[in-house]
Amino acid sequence: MSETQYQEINTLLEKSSFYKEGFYTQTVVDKLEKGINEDVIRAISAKKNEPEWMLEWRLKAYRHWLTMKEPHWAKAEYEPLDYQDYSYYAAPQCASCATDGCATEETEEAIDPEVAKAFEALGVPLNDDADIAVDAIFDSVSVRTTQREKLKELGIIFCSFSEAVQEYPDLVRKYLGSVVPYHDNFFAALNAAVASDGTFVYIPPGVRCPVDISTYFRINEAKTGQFERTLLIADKGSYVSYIEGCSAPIRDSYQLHAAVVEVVVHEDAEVKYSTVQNWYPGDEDCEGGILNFVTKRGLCEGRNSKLSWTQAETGSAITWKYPSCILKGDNSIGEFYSVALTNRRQQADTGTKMIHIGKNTRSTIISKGLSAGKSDNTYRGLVKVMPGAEGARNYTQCDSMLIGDKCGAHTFPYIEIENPTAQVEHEATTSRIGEDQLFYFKARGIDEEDAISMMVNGFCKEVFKELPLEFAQEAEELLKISLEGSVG
Amino acid sequence: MTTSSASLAKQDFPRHPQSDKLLAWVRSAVEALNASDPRPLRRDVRMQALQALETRGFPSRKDEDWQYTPLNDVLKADYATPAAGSVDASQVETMRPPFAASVQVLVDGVWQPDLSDPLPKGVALASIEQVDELTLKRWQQLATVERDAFELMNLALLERGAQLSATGMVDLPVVLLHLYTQSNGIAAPRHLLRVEPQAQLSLIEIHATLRDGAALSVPVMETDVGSGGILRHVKLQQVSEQAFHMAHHFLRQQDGSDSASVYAALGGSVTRHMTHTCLLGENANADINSAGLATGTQVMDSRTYTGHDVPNCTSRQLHKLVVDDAARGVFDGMIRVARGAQKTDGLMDNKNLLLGPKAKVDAKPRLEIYADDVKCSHGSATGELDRDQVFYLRARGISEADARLLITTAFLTEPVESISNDAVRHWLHDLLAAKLNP
Repeated sequence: MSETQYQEINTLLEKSSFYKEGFYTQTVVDKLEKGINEDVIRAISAKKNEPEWMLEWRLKAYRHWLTMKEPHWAKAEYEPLDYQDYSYYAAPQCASCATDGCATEETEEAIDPEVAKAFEALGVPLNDDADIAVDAIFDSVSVRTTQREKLKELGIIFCSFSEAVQEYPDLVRKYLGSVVPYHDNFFAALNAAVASDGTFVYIPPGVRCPVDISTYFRINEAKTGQFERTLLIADKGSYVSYIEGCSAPIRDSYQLHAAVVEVVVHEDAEVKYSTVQNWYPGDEDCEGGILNFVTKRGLCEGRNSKLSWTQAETGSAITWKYPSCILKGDNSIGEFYSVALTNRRQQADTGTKMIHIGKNTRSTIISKGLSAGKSDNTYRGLVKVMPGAEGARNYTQCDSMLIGDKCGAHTFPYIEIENPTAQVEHEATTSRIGEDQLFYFKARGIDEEDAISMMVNGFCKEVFKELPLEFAQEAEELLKISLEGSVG
Repeated sequence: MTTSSASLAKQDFPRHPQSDKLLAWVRSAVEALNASDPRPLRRDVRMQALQALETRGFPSRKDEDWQYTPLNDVLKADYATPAAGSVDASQVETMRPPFAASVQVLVDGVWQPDLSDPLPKGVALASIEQVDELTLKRWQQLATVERDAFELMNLALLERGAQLSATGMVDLPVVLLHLYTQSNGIAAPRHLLRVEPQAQLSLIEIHATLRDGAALSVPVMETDVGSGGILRHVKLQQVSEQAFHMAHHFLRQQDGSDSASVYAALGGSVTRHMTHTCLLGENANADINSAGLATGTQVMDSRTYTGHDVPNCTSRQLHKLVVDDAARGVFDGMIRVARGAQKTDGLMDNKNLLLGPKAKVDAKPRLEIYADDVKCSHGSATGELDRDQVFYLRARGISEADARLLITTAFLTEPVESISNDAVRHWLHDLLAAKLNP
């Protein structure tokens, strides 16, 4: 492609390099001093009025975390973080009633109007009439959970994690850490120690959740880390579609997001977990963006259970995320559909792990990586077939598209087979938007920007069709915005 | 070239807790070598390599490049003090491959001109011992920066091996017949091969042990293929079932050069072969194939690194592993396309067949790409024998056992089919087939 075309593309990119979710909400905040130590953990636990066992668990995790080393094996370069330079708890004051643990029914008045405005601007519906149930998390706390009553009639529990600790301690104790133990990895240990809030979902046996359940994460305060913990349990024969979204204001220093998601899928149950990740990626050089170090894992516990991860990743300065499926139940199914787009100096190291334990377990991995600008985009995935997993099947397809000659696209699959009846296939290709393809579009009167957008959407189609409808649209829009000006 | 090497340099070397025993062996061997060698360059090279090796130790399973290759047995074994054994002409005769070739015999890594055939026209061969310091220094400067523990070990033990060069069209294949005589010895030959511009050479390496036992061979071959040069390379590894083999082939190719290599693995307890290719000149092509058949409790590791450092190069790879019983097969392949290496065409295919109930395969086909106008792909498939294929043959009156053997043989020998010399191809094909149907 010619120099001028590159330039055109770059100007195009720069034009749209704004991050429309980058506003900051002025509100009175209850925020802990920077730093982490046992007192901070006790303070967080006390603010949430947590029972003794929860505090013990946090402290155990904290003590273990101190013995661990910050991992740097991902294909991303960053300075070691100063964990004393973050505040580990921030909550809008008005919403403190949601965190004292005894509030069961929130009212519209309980929300700080500024916070409500923020969510309105983000297009997150906080009323009970929307066709989606939302748990809105603002910095460290859940400020509102909608449609709880309606769902309660069906026996579905949908509330913030803090409330679940108070109201459903048995369920929480049973499942917390059962998929991602506190000692799992560095960031999971940190999360367990300082977990701020998160979402708790329980779908009782045989219930098909009538609406999509969703959580929207918003980091607002500067220099705070967000450490939410999501626990989703689908009991026998149930079904739920869960959606996650996120954003943060524009900042000039890195912010840390180290979440843990645990999903347990029982016999014949199905969980569809979709994420549209749009954390603030930072400025032109990705300074000040979000460091997104997330542990997501699902356990397909029962026979015929199914877990499907779909993700559209466009934000964050650095992404380090491997939503995984442990296929323990016989005939269980794991799926992973991912579109990861990196631009400027973003670095994404993302993929999945499929651990086949049960007989006749199946998994599918479709990963589409797009890199533009000076970014690096890495797929890293593990497919492991244990000796007992008779008849396991896996199909993996990793496609990369490079947009411009200063970015990188990498594929690092790990395939470990210990059962001869397994059938595992992996394919990876690399392509780019070629001159002749562009010419073809242009010859038909379609301008370059639209042509690129069309080709990119075609490239990602297999994944987008897995996303819930409105989300698929949002993802396409996001892709367009994130891509503007980057194409060459 | 430097950019790719620099960014590859690893920072972290998890150390195997049982490193010390073999390290002590290497140190005493290096001290003995240096005590009797007045030449400063060789002494420095050995000492520096030894120090680097001692600092790092041998890799543990926590090292990404070694997570599937267990070294416990290699490090635990008792090795004899270094000695060069001797063989007689009748032993050479039994090991001689059945095709027209100039066979050069290396006993424990030491070239034996008396046991060897005359060299064909255009080939020069000298023992590493005779290579002058200046030439050695030039090789040192060319050396690929990426070092692993066994390559360092080989360098520390620099003494044996040969310098080979080819000019013009060499019509007779040259065979490097490595015979390891000690049942518990260590041999670390280092060969330096130069294919001059426009020259053509067909080189066949055979590595075999004459006695059973936990012997360790650590050969390194450094090859330079000049502009327009052509190299055909075959390596057969058939060391004894208890032996260890940790090998490297570093291949550097200039513009317009063409290489094709096949690695066939049959023997050994724990074995590993790395073909490390750097395409340094435009329009170069590299074909890299391998076929391994692991039975019993063998661990067979076959790996490649293919660096496309300049534009307009192609690489083609096919790697196959058949794993039976409780054996383990490992494949690791990396294609790296440097920034600016546009119009690269790289293809890597890995296929593994699991036969035994406890057989294991670990595969890591990797791509690292920094240029946009490239065609790169890799595929990896692992599974059992296709029942439909077996059925197809049975329907034609072929017994189950024969059908399985037929399909497995065809699967395993595919990478060998690319060898253009008929006699060499048949020889390798028959060896692989014979192990499948003893």
